Amino acid sequence: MSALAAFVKKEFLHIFRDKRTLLIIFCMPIALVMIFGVVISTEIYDAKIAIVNASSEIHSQKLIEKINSSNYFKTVSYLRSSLGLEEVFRAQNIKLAILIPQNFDKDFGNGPPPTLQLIADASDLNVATTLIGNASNIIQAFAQENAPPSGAVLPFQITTRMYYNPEQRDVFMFIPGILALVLMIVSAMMTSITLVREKEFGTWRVLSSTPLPSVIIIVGKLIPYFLLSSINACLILGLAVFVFGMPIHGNPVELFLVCLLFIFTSLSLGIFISSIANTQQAAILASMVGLFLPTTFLSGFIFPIENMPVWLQPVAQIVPAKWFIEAIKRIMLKGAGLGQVLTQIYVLAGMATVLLAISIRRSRKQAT
Amino acid sequence: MVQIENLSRHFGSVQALDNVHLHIEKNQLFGLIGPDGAGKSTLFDILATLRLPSSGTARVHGFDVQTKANQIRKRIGFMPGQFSLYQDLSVLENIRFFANVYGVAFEESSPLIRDIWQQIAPFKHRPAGKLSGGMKQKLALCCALVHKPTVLLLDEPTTGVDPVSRKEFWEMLQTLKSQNITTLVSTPYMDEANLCECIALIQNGKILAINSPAAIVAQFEFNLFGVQSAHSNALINPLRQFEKTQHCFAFGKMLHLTLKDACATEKDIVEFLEKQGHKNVDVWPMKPGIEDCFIELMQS
Amino acid sequence: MRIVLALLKKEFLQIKRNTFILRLLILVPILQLCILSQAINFEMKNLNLIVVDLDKSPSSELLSKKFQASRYFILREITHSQTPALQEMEDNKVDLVIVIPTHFEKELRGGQSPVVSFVADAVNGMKAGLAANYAANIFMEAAGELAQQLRLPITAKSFNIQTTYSMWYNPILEYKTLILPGLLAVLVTLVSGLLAALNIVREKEMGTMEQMNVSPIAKWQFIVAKLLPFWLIGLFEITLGLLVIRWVFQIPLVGNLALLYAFCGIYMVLILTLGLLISNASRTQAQAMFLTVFFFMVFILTSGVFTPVESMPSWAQTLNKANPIAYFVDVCRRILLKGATFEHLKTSFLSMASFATLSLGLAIWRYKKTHVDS
Repeated sequence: MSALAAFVKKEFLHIFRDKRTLLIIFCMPIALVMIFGVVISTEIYDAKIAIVNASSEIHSQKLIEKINSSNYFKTVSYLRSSLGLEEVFRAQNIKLAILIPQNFDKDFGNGPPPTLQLIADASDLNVATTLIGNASNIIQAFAQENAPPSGAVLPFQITTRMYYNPEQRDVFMFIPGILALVLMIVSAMMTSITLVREKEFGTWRVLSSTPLPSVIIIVGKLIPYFLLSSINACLILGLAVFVFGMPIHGNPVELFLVCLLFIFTSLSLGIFISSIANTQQAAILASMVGLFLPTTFLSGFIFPIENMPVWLQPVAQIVPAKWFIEAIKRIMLKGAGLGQVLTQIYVLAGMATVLLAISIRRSRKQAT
Repeated sequence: MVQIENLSRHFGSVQALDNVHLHIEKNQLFGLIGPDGAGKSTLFDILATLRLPSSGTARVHGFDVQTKANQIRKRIGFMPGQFSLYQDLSVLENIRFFANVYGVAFEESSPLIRDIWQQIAPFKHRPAGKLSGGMKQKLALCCALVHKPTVLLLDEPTTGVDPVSRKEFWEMLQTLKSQNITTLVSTPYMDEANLCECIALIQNGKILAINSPAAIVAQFEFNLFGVQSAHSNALINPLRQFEKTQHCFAFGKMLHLTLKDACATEKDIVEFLEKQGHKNVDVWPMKPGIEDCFIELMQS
Repeated sequence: MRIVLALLKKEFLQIKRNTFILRLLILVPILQLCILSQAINFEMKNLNLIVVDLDKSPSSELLSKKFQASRYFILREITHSQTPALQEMEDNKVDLVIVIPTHFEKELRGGQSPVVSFVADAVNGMKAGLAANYAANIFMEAAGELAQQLRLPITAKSFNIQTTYSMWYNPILEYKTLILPGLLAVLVTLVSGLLAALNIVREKEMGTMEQMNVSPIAKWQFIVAKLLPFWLIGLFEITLGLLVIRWVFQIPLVGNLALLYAFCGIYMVLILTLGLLISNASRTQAQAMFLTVFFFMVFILTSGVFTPVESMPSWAQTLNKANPIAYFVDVCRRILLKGATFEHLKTSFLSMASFATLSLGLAIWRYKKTHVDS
């Protein structure tokens, strides 16, 4: 058996003898994708609100009914005036208050348009904007419904087509990011401790005194984890497609190849961490603290990169997940072929190469 | 086989090896004797090509450790201090792994390994982590020999091992000598030093003496006495105050006493002690052992 | 007590000697706090737009120009053919394409209600929706001008309702306001939790556990001694983070800091004991790592730091009542940004305190001194 084959066999033995970790390695990505896919969203339903109604005639009542019948809002407090509104915000944790002025019924359709005031809890600006948008939509719809046919507002019509995601489903935006995050974290974690374990347990000393080249050691460690992660990639992609309904407009094989490339890059990142850390504890902390948040924040997973400050954008470019997410979104949702994601492929491959090269150099056996 | 010249190695401000000069002949069983922190492991690291020296040269089998490390690695077997094999792999799996790494087949009947293998073979499917200390050492030795090395580097192989296993281990080392293997062993145990053909005493990175055990002992220039009483320990301080005393140290239940004066006898010692009120003291002349020589060298 | 102090000393020494960890504990969270918070924004601006003007009339030009002045859109170009514009969308270069049809002006004059079409890149559904909304608003504003220019009949009564809005609790209107306390919570939790989770299992792996087990140290002393250093470190980090939030980001911290610290104290106990429980249950550091990361990732992503808790399905929101980080983030915001008092937060406090006590009890109980081959 060649040295490489023997090394790979040894690694496999280590992996399969730790049944618990093996179980976790497979269950974790599945569980995470399921949970995040279902739970992460930006659409808001049943938001707690308060309605301050200074008028009390039929129109305001109808408006209130319409608001309550929508599943966007749940009114938990009714007030006649805005006194005590602040306390309601604090005590009941409402996110929005709708204030209907006294002259609402009088003015609606009888003169200058009445003005409703919306007060939002802007400590979460995103929620505030969404709620205000939802409320405005309901109010506008109310206006349209109650206007006679001749009271058209616009001389022309607008139709809107939503390309690539006709139902505007949130998942389409988040699932690629979730895939990236989960694959990266699991892959990088697996390899981040493998080299360090040998150092911590002393087997590295014996290995170093053999003629086994560092390259073989590193490649030998990558291979088993690569296979494991590929299985994970299949599982996760399967979930994305069959449970969350992500389409694959492009070629599934090409999609899978891109996933494999990303896995390879993540594994290389893990090995790199493993080559610079001296204890498992350090490697684990470095990979978690160093990878989880930056990947979540800077990859475009949740926050769009184009809106980031100029100086931060280059930093976002070194996050491998960013390139992966771009590539799979294009392949899955826009039907792109490998030819159109070449930049992403080159970048990911380049990162992997550089990381591996550094790892091999840093694992040279003769310490200075 | 192993030539070390002017070898130095420092870690920051700590000088681990200071101008070490050593030659080990082919087929020698060579011992490196010294206390913890003397620099033994550092020397082994350099010879095993795990570490580069700060200055000086070292050659193993004619190859320079700095430029021909890979040639050296093919020819050496290394056993680092603590157990450094894979605890979750079985005995057989460990050996086969290292055999494959060296590109050889594991020959159970090879003369080098045969005797050792016989002792651990009953446990061949047991995970290495579950072996006793003595068995672990034998396994490690097996793995170090599987590719028929010409130089064996053993860094404190018997530390933490029971005395019976220690004895067996050294018997195996003697057998290896007849198989054309050059062995460098380090140990803090002075009794094992006597089993080597040639030893080097090392302390604080410096070599204090290099010679056969007998020659080193022969160079001991003082008179050595054993002193014992019902309360030997109470005698140490008074003896150290004695003007004729060179050194006095505790050795288990008795004391070893070296005198400056070649003419001083047991009577002088007994007299001095009785004047201090210590009765029933036994004093007798002794032949020095390696440890005494070592202590002497350390003090000067 | 003396024993606990001795154990504490050992733990602190170990931490102090490990400079890598120390740097990780202090520098990295603060660095990430400063850098990552800059990435946060949900604002929809810099939306790339192409207007395809198939009519080339004064009216269509008027409409097109309206978008140049908009603060939401970057009008990339005004073209006269649809296909290249849609190709740009394929290439991810444009978010919205507006097509003004031929005969637009003619049909307007004739009262025939021409159809303008929006094509949005809806990969990011929310973004597309907002883009369409903004564009529609701009059109609405332009409609009045158009009507005047073309002398179109305007309806006398407009059944319109106008809405104005104001934002409370966020005078600077910064997304950072929201994220920073949450981010701080995440960082401190990750670091402390991992350290606690690795601690016991590391001693198991290295073999120093047995020494502890044969010593006359009581279980509770052992656990408390493990907790205290990380507890103190965690609080220290929270303080550092708060200082950064206050002085570097200039975000006013309105509320009762003592209350916040009290809550933090209880929260840290919970997180650390959870880590210790995992540590106890694991045989290798790898296992502890995966378990901890799994639980913490789930807690963090469902805690409301990145996406609102309100958007989660109701069963998830119920389950979230067992998510310590969600509580922490919520309480942090309410104290720091809204000035909530103890009365307001009673339930949260109680829940946290009971979880923490339960967890601590469990950790002490499950720590077995006899070496059971787990």
